[in-house]
Amino acid sequence: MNKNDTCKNIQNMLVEYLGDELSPGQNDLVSHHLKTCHNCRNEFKKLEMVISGYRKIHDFAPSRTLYHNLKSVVINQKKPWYFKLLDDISEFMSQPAPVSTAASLCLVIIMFYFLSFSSNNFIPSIDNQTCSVLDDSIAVNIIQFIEDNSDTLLNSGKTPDNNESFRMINNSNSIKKNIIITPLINQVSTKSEFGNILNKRVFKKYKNSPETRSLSPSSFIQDKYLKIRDDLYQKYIKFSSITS
Amino acid sequence: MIYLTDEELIKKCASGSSTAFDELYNRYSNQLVNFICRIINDFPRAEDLFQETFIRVIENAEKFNDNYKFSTWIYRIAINLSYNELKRQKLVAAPVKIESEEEYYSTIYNNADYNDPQSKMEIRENQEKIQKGLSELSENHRIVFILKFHQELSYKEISLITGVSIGTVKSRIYYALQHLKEILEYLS
Repeated sequence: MNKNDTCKNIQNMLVEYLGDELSPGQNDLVSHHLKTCHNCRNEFKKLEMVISGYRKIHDFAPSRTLYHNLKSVVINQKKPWYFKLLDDISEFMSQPAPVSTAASLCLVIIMFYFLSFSSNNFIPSIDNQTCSVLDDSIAVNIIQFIEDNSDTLLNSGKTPDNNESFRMINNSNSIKKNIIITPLINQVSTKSEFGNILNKRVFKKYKNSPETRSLSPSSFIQDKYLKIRDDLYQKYIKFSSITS
Repeated sequence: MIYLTDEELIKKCASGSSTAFDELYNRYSNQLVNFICRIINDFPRAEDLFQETFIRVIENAEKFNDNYKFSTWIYRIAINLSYNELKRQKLVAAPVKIESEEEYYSTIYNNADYNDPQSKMEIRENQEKIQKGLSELSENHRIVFILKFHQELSYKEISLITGVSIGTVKSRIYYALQHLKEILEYLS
C-alpha cells in the first residue's frame, strides 16, 4: 500500500477516531500515523477544531420553574397521596441494611409505645346484640355464682332481706332471675358498666392471647366467665350494701 | 440511596413515586433541554418541549417495555417533538441569542480562553461559523451530529434512537463534520 492509499484510509477513520469509535488496534494505528504524517495531522486538526468549537458552545441550565411546573403536572395527577407515601416508605426501607435496620427499630419502638398507650383506651364496641348476650350470659353466671356461694352469703352477716332472697333463690330457680339478677343488672351493673369491666379486666388481659384471639366477644366472655366472677361479686356486694 | 437504573426509576414513577421522578428529572433535564435547544435553537421553547417529553414519558410509564433502554425511548420522544416544532415554526437554525457579549463569553468559555483576546475572537468566529454550518445541515444530519458530539452517545445508541442503521449514522456524521470543516475553511 503506497502512502496516498494509507493516508486516504487514515483520513476515512478520522471521524470515528475523534468520536472514539475505533477499536484499540485501529486507534493505535491512527495515532501512530498522525505523529508521522503532516497532511493527515492537518486534516485531523481541522476536524478537531470543528468538534471542540462546537463543544464549547454554552449549555443553559433549565429554569427552576420548569421542575415545579412539571412535577405539579405529572405527579399530582398521577396517584393518590397514600400510594406515594407507601412508595416513599418502601423506598426508605430499601436503604442499605444499617439504615433500614435502625429505621425498623425506631418504627417498632414507636408502635410499641403507641399500642401500650392505646391499650388503656381499647374498648371494643358493644352493640345491642352483644349486650343481650352479655346480659344473658352474666345473668346465668351470677345465678350460678349465688347458688354456689349461697351458704357463704347466708352466713356472712347480711341483712335478713337478702338472706331471705337467697333462700328464695335456692328454693325456686324460676324466680332467681326476676328477683335477684334483673335488679342487679339494672341498678348496679348497667350495660356500660359491664362493658367497662370486661374491657379493662378481661379484654385488656386476654385480647392478645393466641387462644382467645379467634373467639368472638360473646363466646370469649362466656369462656372467660370465671375470670370476671370476682368483679361481678364485688358489684353484687356493692348492690347489697346499697339496698340493705 | 441505592442506585437505580433509569428503567427501575420509570417503573416507580408509574406508581407515583415522587423521589423516582426527582431522580429521573435530575438525570435528564439538563442534557435533554440543551439537546432540544440545539435542534430548534430556542431555549424557552426547548424547555416547553422537554416538559412535554417528560409528561409523555410519565403518562406512558406503565407501558414501558423492559426490552428497551429508557434513554432511547425518551430521546426518541424528544426528537419527534423537535421535528414537529421545526415543521410548525419552519425554523431555520439561527445563532444562539446573545444578550451581553461580556457575560456571554465569561460564562461560555473558560477563563484562559476568555482572558486571551485573540483566543476569544477566534473562538467566537469559529462558533458562529459552526452555527451557520449547522443551520445549513438537514435535520437528520444535525440531530445525529448533536447526539454524537454534544450528547456523547455511541453510534449504536444513536442508531437505536434515530431508527437508522449504524452505517447511516456513520455517513451522516461524516458528512456533517466534513460540511462544517468546509464551512470553517471557506469562511476563514
